[in-house]
Amino acid sequence: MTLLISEAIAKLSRLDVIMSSRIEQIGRRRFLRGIGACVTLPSMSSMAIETKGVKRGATATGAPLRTAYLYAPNGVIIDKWRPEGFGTDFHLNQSMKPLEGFRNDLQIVKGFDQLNGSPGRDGAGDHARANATFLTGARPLRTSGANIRVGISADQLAANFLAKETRLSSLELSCERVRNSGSCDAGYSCAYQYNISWRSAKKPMSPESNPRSVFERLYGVGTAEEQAANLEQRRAEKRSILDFVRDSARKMESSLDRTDKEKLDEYLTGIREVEKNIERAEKLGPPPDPGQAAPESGVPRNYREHIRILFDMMILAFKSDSTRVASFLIGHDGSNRSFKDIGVSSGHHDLSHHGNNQEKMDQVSLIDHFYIEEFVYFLERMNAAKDVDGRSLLHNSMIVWGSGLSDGNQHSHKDLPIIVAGHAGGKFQPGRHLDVGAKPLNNLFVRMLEEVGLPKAQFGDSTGSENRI
Amino acid sequence: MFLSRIQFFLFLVLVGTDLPELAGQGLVPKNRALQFDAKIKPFLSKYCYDCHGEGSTKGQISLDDPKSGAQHLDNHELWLQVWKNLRSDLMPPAKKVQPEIAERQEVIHWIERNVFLLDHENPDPGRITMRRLNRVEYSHTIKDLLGIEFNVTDNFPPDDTGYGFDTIGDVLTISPLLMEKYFSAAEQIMKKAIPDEVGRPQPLSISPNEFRQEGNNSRTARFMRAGINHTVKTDWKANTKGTHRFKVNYEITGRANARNYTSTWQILIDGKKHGNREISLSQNKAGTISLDLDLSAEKHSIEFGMVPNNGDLNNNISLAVKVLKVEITGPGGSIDWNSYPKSYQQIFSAGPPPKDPEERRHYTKKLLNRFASRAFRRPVNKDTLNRLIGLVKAKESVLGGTYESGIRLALTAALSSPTFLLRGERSINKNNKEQTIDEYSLASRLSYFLWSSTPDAPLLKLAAEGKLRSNLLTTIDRMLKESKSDRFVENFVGQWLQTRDVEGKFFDTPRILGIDDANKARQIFNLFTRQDMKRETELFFSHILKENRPAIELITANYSFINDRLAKFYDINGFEGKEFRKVSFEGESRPGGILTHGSFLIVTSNPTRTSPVKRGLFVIDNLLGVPNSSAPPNVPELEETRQKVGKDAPMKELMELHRAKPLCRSCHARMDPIGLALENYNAIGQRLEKESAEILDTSGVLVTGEKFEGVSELKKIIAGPRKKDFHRRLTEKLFTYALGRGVEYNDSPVVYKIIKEAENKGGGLKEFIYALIESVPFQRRRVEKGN
Repeated sequence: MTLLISEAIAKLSRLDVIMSSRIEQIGRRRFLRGIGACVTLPSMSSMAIETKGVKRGATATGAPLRTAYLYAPNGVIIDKWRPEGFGTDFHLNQSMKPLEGFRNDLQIVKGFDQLNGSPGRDGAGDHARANATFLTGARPLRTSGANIRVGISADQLAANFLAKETRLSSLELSCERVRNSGSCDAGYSCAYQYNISWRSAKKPMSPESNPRSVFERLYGVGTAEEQAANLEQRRAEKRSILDFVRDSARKMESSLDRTDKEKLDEYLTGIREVEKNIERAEKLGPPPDPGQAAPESGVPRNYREHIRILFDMMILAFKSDSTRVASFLIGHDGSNRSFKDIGVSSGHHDLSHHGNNQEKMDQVSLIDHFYIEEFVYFLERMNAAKDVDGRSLLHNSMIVWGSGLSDGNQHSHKDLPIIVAGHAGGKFQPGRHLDVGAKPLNNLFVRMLEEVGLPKAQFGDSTGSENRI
Repeated sequence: MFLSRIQFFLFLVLVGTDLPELAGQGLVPKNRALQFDAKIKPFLSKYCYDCHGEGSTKGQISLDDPKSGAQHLDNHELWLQVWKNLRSDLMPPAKKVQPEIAERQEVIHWIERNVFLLDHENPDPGRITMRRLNRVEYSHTIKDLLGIEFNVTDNFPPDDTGYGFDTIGDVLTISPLLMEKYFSAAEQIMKKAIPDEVGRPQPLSISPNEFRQEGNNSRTARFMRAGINHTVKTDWKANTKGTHRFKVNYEITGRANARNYTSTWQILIDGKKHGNREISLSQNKAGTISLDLDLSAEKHSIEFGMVPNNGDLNNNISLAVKVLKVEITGPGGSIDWNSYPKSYQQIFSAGPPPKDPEERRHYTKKLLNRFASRAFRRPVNKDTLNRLIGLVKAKESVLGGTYESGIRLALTAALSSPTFLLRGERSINKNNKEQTIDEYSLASRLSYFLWSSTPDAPLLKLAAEGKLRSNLLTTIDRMLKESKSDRFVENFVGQWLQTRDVEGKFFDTPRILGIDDANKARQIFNLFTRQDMKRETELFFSHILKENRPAIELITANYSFINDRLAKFYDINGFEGKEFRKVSFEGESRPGGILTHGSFLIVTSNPTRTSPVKRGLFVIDNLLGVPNSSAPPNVPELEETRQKVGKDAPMKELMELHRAKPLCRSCHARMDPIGLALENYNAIGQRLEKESAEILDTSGVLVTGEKFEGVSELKKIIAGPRKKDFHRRLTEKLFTYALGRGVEYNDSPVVYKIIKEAENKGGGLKEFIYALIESVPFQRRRVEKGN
């Protein structure tokens, strides 16, 4: 028996629906614990998988290969962050201590830059640029509103390439649910500071912050039975709505000028995306039972809880193979959040301009430590979750954790703090601290895109593929 | 030379698209070079060359540089800087010889006409990118169309902002995610508007909270102590006469010391006992009481009584009944049209659908025409209407389809349509590049500006009759009188004066107050205080707007709007009452005006301390619009300075030392003095006690030279010599918010005109709104030619 991977997963999904009894009204706490630990897919070993010909976003065993980009704001206190020693014999420093248990799953990389984040002729606005360049490696056009432009982002290159494989081509998450009023960073539109994912130079992918909405995107609204009822009819209705709105758009188009046509085109792209979603849902079948109820609506007030539940959503998406590409802007660059829980009541951004004041630097280190702890939370669950090939999700992933600034005090865009976690299904050699020596961060992304199956994906300021990763 | 048709077409396209955007629309005046030599160069030489000419290149600006000097009238960047600095009196610097006001004005206008080629009589309306509804507008639009509340904060991703506002067409992008959300929102909304269950009796629930004890408001049905003899009660009106079903869910809670205790709990309707329960710990923990009662269509009282069996023990026994849910289901069978949901009645406004096929066809057409024309903000075209009718029919004919579900599908489609989600505009004269927008487009511009929502029926009627332009002022007045205009205040002030950020900002209050007790700190400053501050600024702005008080009163007012909580927080004696009202601050130590509003003082503070820089920046950027460059990439280090001069150095001294570096000084000299004048207000907006205020030196000098002592004198300066800046900045902010695009230098003729018209009529805030709405950019639009 030979199966394409997507069919295999679709089969498994149905199996999973049958096997797992639905638990109604499960508490959110339990639900959190449930991910990864309790709900396991049946082992892949009983099913033969034809791996030949499967090139797109898959590992050597044919399991899906996931890519995740995680962003923490405002750089780090590098002395407390950077490990001592290179190669396999390195010693984790204070801020990274919580990662000790995962040292063999990490490549900690020194020497990646995002030089388009530097002021150049554009002057101030380093936070907006740190954010905008992180996954694009392109210089954002300095504007408060008109003609926003940066470049396509690494995750969207992968998402476009893998669009047909999964129900959603990508997932964008963020804990930021409001924009500050007034202007954003130094004459840059807030679009640069609150989006890391760009589907084209001009179009940001707005991230979601409400865990309930993410869940409903993955699994639909209502119970499985409700969703199954009249499915065909509801799809037909949706198609008739799509026909109607497409016709309305056509009528509207004739009276528009060039820029407004571009705006309408955003709408039409959205329509096509909704259409594709229906097609993919038909082709791939319903997602596997998540094994728990949807999270409560609204956003947890506690930041840590919010981060964690969004991580949980990302893991659900990966585990159910709803998508293979995700990005998570945990906090936007320039974020002035305070961290009462860990005894830091001043704002992160204010503190990051510590002027070498030891007290402030120590506080920033505490924040760095906090973000690393959250990263560990994610890694633990990725590690505990069994993938279709019996390996862990972590094994079958490429995860980049980083910030668009290295030293927040100086606004430096060089030598960024970057960690690559996961084994890429065995293609990476983790357990190392290495120095690539002043290379564009995009070279790392090009390398990762190769693994996804997209060779020579030069973009932004990349100069090649970083083959030391 | 002959051009083929294709070549000719290409030629047109190239000419069309290559029109220089920056060059304004005027023709290059022939003698401008001569004028420059005769009039402008001597001016520059007299007032500017000291630092920027004859070999001096301060700030790397040389006005007589042979290659890039001012004689190059096409050096746009240089001239823009000259113009901005002249306009805001930043140059020549205060300590140098100043030109006469008229002289300065003349040069400014010369630059506008001859360098920027602006035509003051015939200004460019500018281009607005088609705007989609932002999420605030979406929710108001749905509310006004259907009477349905839709939670956009949980359902839509936040809108990106530009130029400080969320109304900017260029940044209101539509991501695929948002499109998905629009589709599911339309579905959810229409499910609520035309519920499946409509026509069948629906249970109505009454919150247990509404049952209160007479004379003791804190006792409710949520927690009825078994040891206290008491009754909680509410009134409820039955809409229809007939049998009503009551369903009460409750729960018994208690601790071990109540094991042998019992009490009787009863339900009474109109004073008559209809059921009782023995309450004790040995009973089932939860239960339901169901009653069927014949009731008349009038008000009835519903009561829960607690009668302790062992006598009234007050609070000693920890046994209680918690009412979880009270539901009343009206009489079965057909129900009154009036009890249908509001949204349903609004959609099916001609009454229940007729049975006769011909009548129904007519009814459907009318219904869809009415709804779509409201939703699309202009008459729906025939073809679109037919498509909507087609959707109704298609849905009606499938298995299990009903007429209502057909209407629901058609309206869901309408709410997903680009004509609903995007504000496409049309023009009257279509041949020119600059076009007058039609009255439907004008109606939308007005309603989204003043109501953050869709035009109502009277507005659309005026547009249909072509009478909106001729009734513009009365229409604006009507719109501002409606409570919907509070949304303008909330959204405009929320972003201009940043009151939207007041609630969410974090403060380490104990540290600011210098006390350890977090609870005590919370009693002083909490969410209520923040909400009150926001309300104060909104009510204040709203008052000045609606009473058409001079706009400058935003700064100079000696009154404000407060309630007792805020009065206590602000340390204003003798105020009583929970309701906000206008109070005079005459004789109070705290002056009025937004500079001493808690909202302004806290949004410009850091979590643990004040930030004179942020306060100063807010004033020069938001209120005066003084040009300022952003912080240099290598950040100033206040802490290093502090280490040098010692920990206890006052902020003022610290900051003076800090900005001693020339790189920092040029900008900080603009911001810091203003912020320092407010240093006797702490980070949460309290005025500091006299003793400590004495050590605070709140004197300063504005970069334009005016000296002041404390916030009262600063207010006078803003109201005096800097009033023109304030008026200009207010105009620019209103303009940006209303039109959804940034204000550029080539809008300055329009901005002048608005200010002049408003000032001629006394400078009332409403006059600015009138003048803006009557201005060319609001009434007209520039359309790009070519595809």
